[in-house]
Amino acid sequence: MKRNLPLYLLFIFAIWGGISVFVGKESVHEIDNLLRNKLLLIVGAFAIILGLGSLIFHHMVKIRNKSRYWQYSYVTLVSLFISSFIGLFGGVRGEKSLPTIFGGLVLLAHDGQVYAFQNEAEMGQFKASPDKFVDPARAVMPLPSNVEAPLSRYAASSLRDEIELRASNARRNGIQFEMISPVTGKPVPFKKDFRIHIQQLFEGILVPCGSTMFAMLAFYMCSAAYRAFRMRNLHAGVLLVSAFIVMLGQIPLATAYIPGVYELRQWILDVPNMASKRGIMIGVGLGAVATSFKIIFGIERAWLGGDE
Amino acid sequence: MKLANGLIGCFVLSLALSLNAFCQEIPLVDPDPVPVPVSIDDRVFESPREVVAADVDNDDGGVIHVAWKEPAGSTPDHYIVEMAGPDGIWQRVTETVLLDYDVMDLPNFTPMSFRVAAVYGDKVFRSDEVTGAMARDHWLKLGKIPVLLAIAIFIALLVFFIISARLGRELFVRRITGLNAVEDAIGRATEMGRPVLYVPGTSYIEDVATLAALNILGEVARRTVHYDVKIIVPNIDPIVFAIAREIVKETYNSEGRPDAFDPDSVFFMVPEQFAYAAGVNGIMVRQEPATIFFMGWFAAESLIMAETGASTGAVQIAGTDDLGQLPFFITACDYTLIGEELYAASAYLGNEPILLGTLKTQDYSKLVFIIVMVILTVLGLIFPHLDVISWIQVR
Repeated sequence: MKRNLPLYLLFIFAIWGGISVFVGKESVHEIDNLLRNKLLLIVGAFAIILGLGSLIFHHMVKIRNKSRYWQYSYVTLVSLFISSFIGLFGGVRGEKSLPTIFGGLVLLAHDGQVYAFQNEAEMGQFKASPDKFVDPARAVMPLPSNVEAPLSRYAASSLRDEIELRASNARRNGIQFEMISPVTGKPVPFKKDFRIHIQQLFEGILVPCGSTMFAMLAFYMCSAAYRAFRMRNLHAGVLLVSAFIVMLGQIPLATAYIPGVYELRQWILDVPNMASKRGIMIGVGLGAVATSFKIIFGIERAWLGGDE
Repeated sequence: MKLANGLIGCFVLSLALSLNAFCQEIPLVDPDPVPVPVSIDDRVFESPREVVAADVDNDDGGVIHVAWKEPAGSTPDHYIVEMAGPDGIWQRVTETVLLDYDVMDLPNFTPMSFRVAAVYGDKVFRSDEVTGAMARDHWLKLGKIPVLLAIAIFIALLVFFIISARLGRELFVRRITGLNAVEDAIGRATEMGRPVLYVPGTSYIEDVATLAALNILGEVARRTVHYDVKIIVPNIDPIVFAIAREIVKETYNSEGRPDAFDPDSVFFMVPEQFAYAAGVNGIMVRQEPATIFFMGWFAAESLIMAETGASTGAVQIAGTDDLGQLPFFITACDYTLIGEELYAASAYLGNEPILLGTLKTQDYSKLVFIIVMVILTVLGLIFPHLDVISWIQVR
């Protein structure tokens, strides 16, 4: 039963998925979407718990065994717990209760306008008697329709981004952009806030690290190309010559001064290269269909860990 | 000498012809008069003619095809398609210069009204309303019939070869060098006393390449149990991780070595592409596996991992169906399974007759495809009016 139940479930769901390709009835598609999107999300949520358990266990074992560079496992675990805590209680962009945005420009939404202040004390003065200071001319910008007053930390942070964008656009177009405090009438210098919400951690840490890894690809390509283009036999020689022509055809200087090189490059890409690619693609398509059928009909059971 | 004389003769003749061309009188009549532009006010304004709105046949509903004819007078700058639901409120659907449009995402079995406006500058001329058009969903999508036929042929071949295999007919399968090397590569790891690293791609469980990679994992794990070698399987996706761990665990159980299974050998690493590549590179450098398998779907991280593996001196066997990454693997790995070989690998390694039958099905299906392509190409060339492409076009 332990082995057969997954096979029966797989067969039913796979046949249903196949039927929805050929049947146009809305109700069939609705059930298919439910299975694909919602059910898969639920399964994914459970799998994340398993995944996290595995990750923690893996690094705990490394620390316990004092494996090579075990200290880095602490970095992983500490980062995991800190980011989970921030994400759970602070929200993706600081919209939840845990404070994840600190300092920055002091903004107040009043009567459909956004005003900037030097500090909290100035804003307090304004709030105490707004009629004395309200002057739409000194507003930084009108309050966007999707933002509510009083401003939450998250809304104020989004407005700061918007103000910064406007200021940089104005500078680019040679227009003076200045924020004037309605209380003192003095210019308010732009102050960035300090953010540690999940989006900031993602943009500030993960994206640059990923970009660094991606940038290394250029060097790996050079070393791989060096090995691939050594002329050891006739096939490697053909590869070298065609690669040389394709590279030449990519360079503007070469295409300008060597007649026909661009056309030859395009021919290599469009005819022999495309022919072999399409051959592989047909094979891949059929292979994918064959694998799917093998799994659906229970012929292939390696994914269950074997036949028994 | 004769050749030189001929060349001189040709040169003189061409020179004479060019001079003749120069001496010709230039005609005074303008050969191609420029048409006088018609001002907007001079144009004849009319609304589009014969507007038709009808449900699209044999689809999954929600679409109404609206078509119209050009006004009898001048050609408008563009057309505006408008529609109204049962509430009678008109809304603009699109602006187009074409003479038909498929209005999408409509509710099924709800009567809708349509009209088309011809726009001349700032003047708009609307057609009569077409009412009662209703989108419907249909039981069978006729546009998918070619796919259904192809699947039927495939299943027929599959059944035939499975029955042949069951009857004991020997099925020849061509040698795949990369898969023959699996045994040697794991044996090498045993001799060196180092682990085997298995990377099941960077895609999700919905991807057939990932499923193929998991099937191969079962066979590779079986061999590591036989040779008593440690296998390391880092995963990028938690669902793939859960299945991969079950596969390895079940393989150890079925081979009678449940005690040898290390639950920490199959683990979830990180769900981010380059972080995963960095992690896998770290395993390669720190644990120095003797054999590395890259099976499944990969993106830009393929070369980063394969080059690092090559620098550690490991034997690398890769298999992917991603055309963009194949050249990288061919360059950096010792053996590469190209495209369909990835899907054939588990059957080839398992060497079970029924699974080999599916391999033969794959090959014969390819033959059928090639025959159909050749026949249609020849027919298309001999009888261009037949429109052979429409016979197999999927809509």
